[in-house]
Amino acid sequence: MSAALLWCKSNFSFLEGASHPDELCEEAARLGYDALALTDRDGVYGVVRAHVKARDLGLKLIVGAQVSVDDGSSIVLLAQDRAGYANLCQLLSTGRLRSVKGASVVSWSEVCERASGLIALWGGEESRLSRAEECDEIAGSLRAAFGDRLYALAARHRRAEEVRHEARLRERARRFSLPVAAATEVLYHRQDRRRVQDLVTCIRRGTTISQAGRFLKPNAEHHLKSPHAFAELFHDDLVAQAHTRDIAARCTFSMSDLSYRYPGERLPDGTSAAQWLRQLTFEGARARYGARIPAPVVAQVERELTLIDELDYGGYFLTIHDLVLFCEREKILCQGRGSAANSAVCYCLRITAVDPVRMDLLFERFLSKERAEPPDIDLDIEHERREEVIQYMYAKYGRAHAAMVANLVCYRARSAVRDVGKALGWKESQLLRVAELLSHWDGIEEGVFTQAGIDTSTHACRLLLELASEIEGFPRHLSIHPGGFLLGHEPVSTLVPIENATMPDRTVIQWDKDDVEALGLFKVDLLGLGALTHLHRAFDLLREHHGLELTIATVPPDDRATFEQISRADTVGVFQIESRAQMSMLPQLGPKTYYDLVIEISIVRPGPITGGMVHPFLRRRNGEETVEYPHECLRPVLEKTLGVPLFQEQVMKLAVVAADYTPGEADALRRDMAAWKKTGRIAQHRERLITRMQKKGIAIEFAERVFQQILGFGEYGFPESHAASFALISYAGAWIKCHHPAVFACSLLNAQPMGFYSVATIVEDAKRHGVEVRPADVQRSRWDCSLEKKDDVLAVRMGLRFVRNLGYGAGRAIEIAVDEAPFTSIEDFHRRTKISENALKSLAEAGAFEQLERERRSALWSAVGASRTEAHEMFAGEAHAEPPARFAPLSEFDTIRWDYAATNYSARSHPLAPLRAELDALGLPDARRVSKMRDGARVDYAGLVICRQRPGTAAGVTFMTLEDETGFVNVIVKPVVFEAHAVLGKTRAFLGVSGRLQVKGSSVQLLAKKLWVPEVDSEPQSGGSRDFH
Amino acid sequence: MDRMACVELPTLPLQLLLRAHPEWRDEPVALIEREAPHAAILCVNEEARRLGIAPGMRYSVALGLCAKLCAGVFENSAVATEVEGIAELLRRFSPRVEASTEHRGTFWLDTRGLTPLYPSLADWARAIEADLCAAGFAATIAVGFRRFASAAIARALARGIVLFECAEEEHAALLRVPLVHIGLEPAARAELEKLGVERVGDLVLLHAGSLLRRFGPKVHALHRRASGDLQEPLTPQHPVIRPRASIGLEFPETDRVRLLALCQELLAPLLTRLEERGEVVLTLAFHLTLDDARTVEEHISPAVPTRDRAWLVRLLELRLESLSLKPGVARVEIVLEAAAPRVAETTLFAERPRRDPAAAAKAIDALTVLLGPGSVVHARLQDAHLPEARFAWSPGTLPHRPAPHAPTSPMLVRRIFHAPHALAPLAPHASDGWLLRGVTHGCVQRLIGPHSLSGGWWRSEVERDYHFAELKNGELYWIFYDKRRRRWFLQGSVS
Repeated sequence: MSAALLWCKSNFSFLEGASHPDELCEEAARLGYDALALTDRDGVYGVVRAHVKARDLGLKLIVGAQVSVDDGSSIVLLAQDRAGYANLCQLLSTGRLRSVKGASVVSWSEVCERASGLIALWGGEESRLSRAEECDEIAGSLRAAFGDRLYALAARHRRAEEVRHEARLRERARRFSLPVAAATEVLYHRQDRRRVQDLVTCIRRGTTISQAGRFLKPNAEHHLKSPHAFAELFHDDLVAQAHTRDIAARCTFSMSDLSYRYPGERLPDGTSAAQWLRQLTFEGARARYGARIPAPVVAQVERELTLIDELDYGGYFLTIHDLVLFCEREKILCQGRGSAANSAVCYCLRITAVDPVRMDLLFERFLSKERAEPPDIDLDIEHERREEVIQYMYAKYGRAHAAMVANLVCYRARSAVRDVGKALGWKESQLLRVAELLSHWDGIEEGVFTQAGIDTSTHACRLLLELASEIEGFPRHLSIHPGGFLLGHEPVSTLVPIENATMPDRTVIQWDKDDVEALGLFKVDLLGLGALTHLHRAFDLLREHHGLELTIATVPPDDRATFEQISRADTVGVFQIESRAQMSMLPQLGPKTYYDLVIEISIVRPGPITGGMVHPFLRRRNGEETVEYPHECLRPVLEKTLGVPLFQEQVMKLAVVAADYTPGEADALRRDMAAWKKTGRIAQHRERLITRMQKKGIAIEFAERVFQQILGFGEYGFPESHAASFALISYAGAWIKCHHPAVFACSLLNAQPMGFYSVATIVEDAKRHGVEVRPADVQRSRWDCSLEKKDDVLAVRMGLRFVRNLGYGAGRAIEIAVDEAPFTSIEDFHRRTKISENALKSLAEAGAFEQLERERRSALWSAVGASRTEAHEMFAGEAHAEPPARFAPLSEFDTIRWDYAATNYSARSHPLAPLRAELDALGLPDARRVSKMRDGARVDYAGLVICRQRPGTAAGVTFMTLEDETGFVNVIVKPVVFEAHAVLGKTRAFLGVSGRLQVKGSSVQLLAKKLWVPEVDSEPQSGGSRDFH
Repeated sequence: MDRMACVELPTLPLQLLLRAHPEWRDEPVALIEREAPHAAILCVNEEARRLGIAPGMRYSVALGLCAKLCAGVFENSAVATEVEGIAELLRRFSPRVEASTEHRGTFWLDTRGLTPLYPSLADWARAIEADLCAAGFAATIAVGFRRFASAAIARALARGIVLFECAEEEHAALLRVPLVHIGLEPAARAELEKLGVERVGDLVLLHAGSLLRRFGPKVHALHRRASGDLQEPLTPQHPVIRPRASIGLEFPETDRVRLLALCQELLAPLLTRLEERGEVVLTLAFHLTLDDARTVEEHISPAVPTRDRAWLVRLLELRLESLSLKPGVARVEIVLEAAAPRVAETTLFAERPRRDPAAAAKAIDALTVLLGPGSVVHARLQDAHLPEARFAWSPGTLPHRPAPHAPTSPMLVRRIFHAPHALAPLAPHASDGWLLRGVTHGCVQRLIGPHSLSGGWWRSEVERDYHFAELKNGELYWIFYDKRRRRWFLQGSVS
C-alpha cells in the first residue's frame, strides 16, 4: 500500500463536507492514492455511492465514520472486517436512535463494547487526546478494547495551534503506548471548494459569512493533497506515514462483502422456499385459470419459477404474497403495480391483477439473470389503510429486521439560492423574490436574477450565482421514503445504521432506494393509493344499496356505455384519466376496449409526447395514415400499437428482435435509456442497435428514428404492465361512474383527499349527472357522506367531514348525540355535543342547523350566543331572556358564498348560477353553449378556474380548466398571453377569457388571446383551484 | 358644546415607508411586519392593491403575484418618533393635541379659543391639511363634537375635510360609517359583518347586553361610544420642555474667557432649576451662532450625569478652546437634557478601590471634550482569524475592568503592529542570510512555520503563510508571506 487517506468527510457529513463522495474517489484515484477511507460524521450515508465509484476506478474504499461522543469529542472508526462494519453500524444506530433527528451521540463505554473488528483513530481538533483536559481513564478503556487497533492520529492543517496540540498528543501517545498515524481531515476534494465548505458551515451554524468568525476553518488546507504534498507535510515523521499505510492495509472490508439474506418465511415443515412458492403459484394458477391451466401459462410459470429459484428470490415473493394475504384478510384493497405485472407468478399469487400471458408482457422487464439484481415489487394499498400494513410488517419482522428506506433531500435551485444567499448576508426578501421566479426543474439561471431586479454584474451576485450552482445537488437531510421497506434476515442495523425519522415511531435507514438497489438488496414498496380507497368504499356502497358484490376483477368488462362515457372525457374522479391532458386526449383516442385504456394511460406521458409518438399513433388509429412496419420482423412487436412504440417493453422487444439483444441486454438498454442524461451510457447502444438493424435490412433512417425515440422516451415512459394495472382501476371507476353515479360520487367524496379535483368540482359533476346532492344537516348527516333513498333514487347526503373547523372527534360526538335523540335547538345541540365555538359557527354558516333555525344569520347569532354563554346562565334560562335580534336574510348569491366559506362546496347551487342572467346580459355563454360552437369561433367566456397546469413538456403553455353550472371549458394559454396577463392568470378565481375555439371531433379547447376580469356586481366564491406545475 | 377635530393620517407606517423610499412612489409597495419570507403584509399602496396584494397576505405569496413588489419594515419605535414629530407640528394649530395610542396616525385637536386666530374652523383645518401635505403626509380631517365620532368619520373620509355644525348632524354621519373605521378587532368585525351588521347604524340597533355576552367588553364599549352613552374627553399630551437659555450679543465676541463667563451666567439659573426638580445633566448642548450666520453645535455628555457646576464649566472651557470662533459669536444658547440621578447609596459601604473611578471618569471626560468624540477607546476581542481582525477599538471606557487569569507558566507575548510592515523583498534563503531587521540585528537563524491563514474570499481574499523568525541576536519576529501580494510582511514581535 503506497498512499492512503484515512479521514475523509463528504457532503454526506451534512453541511460539513463540501464534495460528493464520488468526487473524492475520482480525485484520490487521479492523484494516485491506493485507498480512501470515507468517514462521514455519525453515518455511512455516502458509502454506497463511494463504493460504486471506487469500484469503477479500482480504488480501495475503506468504510468508517467519525463518531460523536457524549463528552463533546469524537473518534474516527474504520471497519477492518465485516464484523467491524456491523459493529460500526450498530454503534451508529445506538447513537442515532437515542438522539433527535439529525444528531447522534454515544458513550465511551459503547465505543469500547463495539470495538471488535474496528480500527480507532484518536486525534484531531475535537479529540480528547489533544485537548488540555486529562484523558487517562478513557485512554485505558480504549487501549483495553481496541488493543493494537488504537492509533493516535496526528492531523496537520498548517495551523499555528496544532503545534501545541500535536505535542500534547504525542506526549500522551508515548505515555499510553499508542502508535501515531498521520492524516489530514479532508473536507473537500479540491481547494476551490473551500468557499462551499465555509458556506455550509454558515448554514449549519445559522450565521452569515461575515459574522461566522472562528466557526470557519482558518485556511484552505482541508483538501485532498497529493501523496507528495502529504509526505512533505509529515516529512519529519516517516513512522507515522508508515502507520497510515499499515492501517489502510489492515482494513480488508469491502461493501461487496455484504452478503444479504432475505428473511426466511415461516414455511411448512420440511418445505423449501422454492417448493412452497411453486405450490402456492400453481394453486393460484388453478384459481385464476381453472383446473386446466393453459399450456403457455404453465410454460411461463415454469420459466419464472426456475429463474426465481436459481437466483434464490423465492423468499421475497413469499413475503409479498404474505402481505397480499394480510390485505385480503383485513379487507384492504391492494394491487401490485409496475413491472411486477409482467410476471405470471405474481399474477398467480394475486400480487398483480393483469394476466401477462394473455397480454403478451415481457417478463425480463421484471426479472432477468443478466441484471443480477433483486426484483422490485411495488404494492399499491388503500391510502387510508397503508399504516395497518406497515405496522403488520413491523410486527411480523420486528423493528430490528425491518426499517424504512430513506429519501435523500438534496439542494435544488430554490433552496440553494435561499440558503447560500442567507449565508452570504443577502436580505431574505430579496432571496425570496429570486426563489419565487426559479422554476422547479431548471437550474439557477442568471436571467431570473435580472427579472427580480438584481444587478447580476455585482460581485455579490456573481458569488451567489456561482456558489448556489455549486451547492445544487448537495444532500441536505434525509426524509422518509413513501413506503420502501428494507427487510433483513439478520438485524438491519448490522447492514446499515438506523435512525429516527421526523414522524413519531418511524425509523429509517441511512440509505435511499438507489443505494439499496446498487447493493442488490431487497426492498418492499408499500404505496398508498387513494383510488383503491375510493373503489373499496364504492364496492361497500354497491353491496349495501344495490346488493351487488363486486371486486376490481369482477366489474363487468367491455361495457359499451362506460367506454362511450370515457370517450366523451366524462371522467372527473376516474383514476389516471381525469387530468386535463387526459381529458383532452380521450375524445381523440376514443377508447373502446380495455387495451385502448392501457394505451390512453401510457400515451399522455412526457416520454411518448417528447418522443413524437402521439400524433403518428393518433393518425394511424383514425385511419389518416397507413400502418406500416420498417421490417416484417417488427410487426409482432409493434402491431398492437400500430407500428409506433409506446411502451418500454416494446423498445426492449424491438432491441431483441431487430438488434439481437438478449432479454437481459434489452433490460440494460432500458435502464441506460432511463439514465442516459446522467450516465451517457446510451451512446454505446447506438452503434450496436443501428448496425444490427441495418444487417436485418431495416433502413438506416428508421434505425436512427428508433434510436431518437429511445432517447426521447428516456425516463418518462410507462411500462405496459404498469399501465395495464392502472387501467384496471380506471375501468372499474369509470364503470361505477357510468352506472351508479351517486355511489361513485359518494365514495369519491369519502375518499378525499385524493385525485385531481376539489370537493366542489366533484359535487357539481355529480349534480350534472343527475345526482341529487343534499347539504350537510346536523339532524341527518353522518361524518362521511351517505346515500339516502327516495322513490328508489339514491341521493348523496353530504357528510360533516367537509365542514371547516370540525374534526373527526366532534363529528363522532354529533353522530352519537343525534342517535340518542334529535336536537331541539342550537342551545340543545351545543349542550349535548360540547363542540368548539368555531365548529359551531361553521355548522351555522354551512346551513347545517336549517331544521332548527331557518335563517342562517339567526343561527349564527344563536350559535355564538350559545358558545359564549356560561353553562350556569343557560340552565338558569338567562340566555333566553335577551330580546330577539333581526337580521337581513341571505340572498341566493350569499347563500352559496356562505356554503363555500364553510364547506368549500355548495350542494344548493353553483356559484355562477345566480349570476347567469347578468352573464347572459353581457353576452357571455355557458360551457354547454361553448361546447356546441364551431371550430374557429371567436368566444368570450367567464368561469371559475378549477385547475391550472404548466407541464414541463408544454414549452411554457398553461392549461386551465374553467367551470360553470353547465360544465367545463378547457383553455390553452400560450406563454406570451400568460405573461401579458400574469397576475390575472395566477390569481383570479373568476376569470374572463377571450379567444378562438379549437374543435377536433368532440374535443373542444379555447385558445386564449386575452384574460380579463368579468364585470359582475358580486364576486362569486370558488372552491379553489388545483394548480400543478 | 365644546368642539374638537380629528386629524387622520391613513396607513401612517406605509406613508412613512414611502417617505423613506421616494423612489418607490410609483411602484407597488407593501409594509411587512418583519424582514422574512413568511412575514404578514400590514398594509399596501394602491398599485399593490390593484395587483391583488392585500393586507394579511404572506409576503412570499404576494411576491408570487408580483415579483417586483417593494416591501419594507418601519420599526414601531421609528413610527413613535414620527408620531411625536407630527404632534409637534399639530401643536402649531392647537396647544392641546392628543395622539392616539391605539391607532397610529390618529390625532385629536382641541379647537377652543382658536376663533380669534382663524377666519373660520374650515380655514383652520385647511391650514393643517396644507402643512401636513408640505411635510409629505396625506390626511383627512373631521371637525365635530365627539371624540369617537370625529375619529370614525375622519377615517371613513376618502380625502379632505368635513365640518359639522351641530352634534346631531355629526351623529347622523357617524351612523353611516362602515364598521371597518371604528377600531373593531378584525375577528369581531368579520363576525358582525357576517350577521349583516356593516355600519355603525346597524351596530347601535343591537341590544347592548346581547353584544356584551357575545363579543365582550371591547365591542360593548364601542357600542356605547357609538350610541353616545359613553363620552370621553380629550387627553392632550404635553411636550417635554428642556431647560434652555440664550443671549444675543451686540458685538461679535471672539474672546473665549468672556464667552465662558457668559456661558456661566446662562448655566447658573438652569442648574438651579434642575436642582429644584432633583435632576442632573445628561447632556449639555450649546449652540453658537457666528457673525457670518454659520452655526456651531456642540454636545458635552459627562461620563457620570452631574450637576457639578464647576466641572461643567471646565468641560465647556475645554471644548471652547478647541473651537475656532472667527468671525465672532453673535448668539449663544445652552440647552440641558436632564434625568433623575442614579442612586448611589448602595455603594456607600462598598470597599473603596485604590484607584478613584470618579477621577478616571473626569479625566476621560476632559480628554473626550478636548480631543473630540472617539478619542478615548478600549480594545474589544473579535471572533476572527486574522491577527489584526481579532480585536477592535470601541469608543469609551471598558464597562467592566478585565480580570485576566494569572499565567501558570512564563508566556511569550506577541505584540503586533497597527498595520503589517512590508519587508524588503529579499529571499529568505539568500546566500548571506536574511537580514530581516537590518545588519545590526543579524540574519534570520531559524524559521518556524509555515502556518497558513486564508479567507475573506467574499470581499477581498487574503492568503498568508506565517512564520516565527529568530534572528542572530535572539530577537523573535512574527512575519508572513502574503501570497496575493507576493511579498513578506512583519506582523509583530515576540517578547
